Amino acid sequence: MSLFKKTYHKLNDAKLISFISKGDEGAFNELYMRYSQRMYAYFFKMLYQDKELAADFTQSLFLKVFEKAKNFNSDYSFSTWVYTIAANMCKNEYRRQGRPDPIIKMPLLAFNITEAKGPANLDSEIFQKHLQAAINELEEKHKQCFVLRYQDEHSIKEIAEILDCPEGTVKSRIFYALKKLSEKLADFKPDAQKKSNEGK
Amino acid sequence: MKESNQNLLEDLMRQYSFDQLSQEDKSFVLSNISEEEYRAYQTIIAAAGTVATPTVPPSVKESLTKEFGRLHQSNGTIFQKIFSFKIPLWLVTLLAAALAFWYYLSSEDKPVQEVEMAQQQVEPKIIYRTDTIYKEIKSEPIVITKEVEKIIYVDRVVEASANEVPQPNRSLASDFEQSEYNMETNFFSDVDINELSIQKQQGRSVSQDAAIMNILDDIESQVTMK
Repeated sequence: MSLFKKTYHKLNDAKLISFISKGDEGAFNELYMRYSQRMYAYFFKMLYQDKELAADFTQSLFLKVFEKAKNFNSDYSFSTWVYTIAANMCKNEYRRQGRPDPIIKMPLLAFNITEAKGPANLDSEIFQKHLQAAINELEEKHKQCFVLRYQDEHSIKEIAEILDCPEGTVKSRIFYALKKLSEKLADFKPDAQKKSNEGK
Repeated sequence: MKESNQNLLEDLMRQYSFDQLSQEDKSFVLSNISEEEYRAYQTIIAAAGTVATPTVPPSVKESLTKEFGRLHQSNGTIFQKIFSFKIPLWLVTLLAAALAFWYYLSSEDKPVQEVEMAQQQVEPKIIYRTDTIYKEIKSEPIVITKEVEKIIYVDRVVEASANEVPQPNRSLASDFEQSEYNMETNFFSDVDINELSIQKQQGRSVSQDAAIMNILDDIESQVTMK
């Protein structure tokens, strides 16, 4: 069977994209299988956890890949290339909206901390929702760096290539984002929890 | 904060809690950030990596597949369409089998055709070689035995006339030998001829002798039989 059927799963991304440029649907299916979930998750996290918006952006992203497949330089990483396109799409969306406008605004201050038993015992799902809400409130450039680094597991070098900025800038943005998030989630700090329990 | 310190701090936060740090690491961390910040950053980093995301809806794939087909159907050249045309495996197998069968059938007649072609194309080159062969056939010699009786002529004395000069007696045999000699040498004398004619008239013919003729007939028949 392998004589007549291409083994797409053995091909690298650059080879797949070259087949896609020639209209190979099998290559498209393989590439979609590799990247669709990652890119959908990226858009979901970057675009305020909006599933429909993330789906639309994922579709638009792959259409752009089809259109630009012939222009892809195989000397570069396809992953970096596709994330660059996605990051630019997010940047354009933020510009279109004027400013980051988190759809999900968790009532952090209204959250009943007194009923909680400390961060170690907090329901991780609730904490993650608060974390995601805090991420949404970050500036676009800080948010990009944080998501790419800690949610999509890219290296500093890759992030610098995707965002087209120096590595030092990426590191600074990441630490800035961490600082901002920790401030936003200050109520979940252990000390805050201890103080809350002591006051109780 | 220095860039190198940021790298080390991030590595430590991703791997160890503050309590797991060595004294040296703790002093390094505390020289850059507080313990509270370290714990907070570490909690955020750990939580960020475990944020659950929904799966991509199948409608995205469907619409993309349609769009992909439409895009390459309209923009593709005729050659791209031909080369991207998919042939089922069973059809390929069937065609290959048919081709192999056809080749098998055609190859059976091929040697005969080749021989015929070779015969037609190659002009015969004939080399003539001649030689003389002497064949010696040995056979028994034919021996003819012929017994001939010696013919004896009886001389009869004739009385000569007075005018005639008496001739010395000569035997007819010696005359015959002389005549044979004369014939071989193509020389005949008038005298001899006359004498022969005389002798013939006077002598006796062999054919008149029945016994001699019988002997000659026997000899002739024997020779003929051999």
